[in-house]
Amino acid sequence: MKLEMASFQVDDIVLGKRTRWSDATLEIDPRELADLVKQDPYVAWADVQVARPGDLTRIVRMRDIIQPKVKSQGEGATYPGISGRPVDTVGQGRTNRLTGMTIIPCADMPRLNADGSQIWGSTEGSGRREINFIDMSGPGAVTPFAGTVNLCIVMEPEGQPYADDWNRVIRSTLLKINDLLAGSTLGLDPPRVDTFDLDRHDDALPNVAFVPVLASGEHRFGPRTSLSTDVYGVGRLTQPWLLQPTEMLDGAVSGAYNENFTWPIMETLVPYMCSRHGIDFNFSGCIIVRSNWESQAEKQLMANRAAQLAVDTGVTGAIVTTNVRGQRFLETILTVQALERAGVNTILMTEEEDNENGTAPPLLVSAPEVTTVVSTGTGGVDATFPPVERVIGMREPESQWYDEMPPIHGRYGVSHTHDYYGFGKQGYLDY
Amino acid sequence: MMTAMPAIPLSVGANRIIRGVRVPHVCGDPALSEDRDRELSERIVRTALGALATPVTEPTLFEPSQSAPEKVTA
Repeated sequence: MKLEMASFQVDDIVLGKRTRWSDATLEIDPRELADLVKQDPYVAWADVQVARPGDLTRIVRMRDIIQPKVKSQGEGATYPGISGRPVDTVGQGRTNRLTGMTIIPCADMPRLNADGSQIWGSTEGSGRREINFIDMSGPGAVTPFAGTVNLCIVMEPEGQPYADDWNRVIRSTLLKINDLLAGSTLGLDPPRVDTFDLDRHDDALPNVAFVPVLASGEHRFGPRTSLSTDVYGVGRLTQPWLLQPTEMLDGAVSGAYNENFTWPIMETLVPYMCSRHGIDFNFSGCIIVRSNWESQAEKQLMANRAAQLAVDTGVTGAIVTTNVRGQRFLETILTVQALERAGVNTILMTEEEDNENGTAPPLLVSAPEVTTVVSTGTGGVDATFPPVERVIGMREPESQWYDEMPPIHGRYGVSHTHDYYGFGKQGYLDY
Repeated sequence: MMTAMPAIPLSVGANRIIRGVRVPHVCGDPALSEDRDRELSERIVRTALGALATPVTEPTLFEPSQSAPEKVTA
């Protein structure tokens, strides 16, 4: 497939009376955007706020993070299959995107129990420590979103809807805003166009695949849940998917699973590997392995099928990543093992566990075939987060959100950065 | 160690490992009738008790569906 990516850089977002991109500045009408959000009967209150790099600002209750993108030529829609969007195959023609910025929907979400019951009221008063937030400045500004201009859509629901319904509202709202903002570039002359022609093949170069192991929500929330990372809108436990890298660039794999957002899946390794296609290697494809299978045999089978898919497509090298640790890590390790056994040179890129000063293993499980690992840290931040002047993410933030936050030690279930793709700003010495 | 993912305790060297049903329900199956669920649970627990009474020298996986332990080396 061949895809042209037209980039419109956004250095700042200004509040005005219309939606318009010009000279690296995006003008928005905050009232128009808020009204668009409030069109949904589930939404009781909404506000639009901008967080800029260097601000003494903390963003909380993020539900997803995406880069605004819209198709300007070619089939389909960006972020296909989500919220009723078409499932036409994407990845060809031209896509317009707004770089340097993100859209972040912020909303409370109930805690869902396995039996389907749910508890509203977030984490306040539960004694659970809040570790998922984005600081825009200071020593804790370690996520890539501390370096982008972030348009935050802050929403409150009418009553206490079921989590899955509320998540569908958040998703469709996010894409409405996406279409409006990215759509403002249609017809404009792009300052930069990158062409990713993946049909070109150089026989002298190795064939490399990107193999993300991505958690499905089906085991917990059912086959039609929206609380999952989806492939063309389908989040089910399926056998591995083979996708063209340009489909990934158009958002064929999107949707948040807890705090594992869309942006890192789409905007880190895939575009980088596309840019090295035909230079260092042929970027042969993306093999999406679903995790959260409930028995070892199923996990093993999916790993075997992923390896077979790689062999069948002539792949000789692979980068495997994971997006949630815990039991999901078994699929990841088994996938590395199966690929290596099938003759595919494989690199595992992953967060590791805090080794508790050498008393605990850095990986939950490993195998002799796992010989090359790129660590992306522990998810922890060994710095104190200074107090902030502004909190974005709820109508009336409690005072605790403004306070200094202690360092976060990364281990399973405790990750601040969720950096499975090496996109954060921390180096080896930081953790 | 009773688990649906024996690969993990095998890799860290647990002595006796009993294969469970599924990650969310190790010792039973909510899809079964109450009687059959209890029967399944009993079989798994009896396998575990049998495992405790079996001398082992290396990480050993016990299958509830079999009377004799299946030996798996980590």
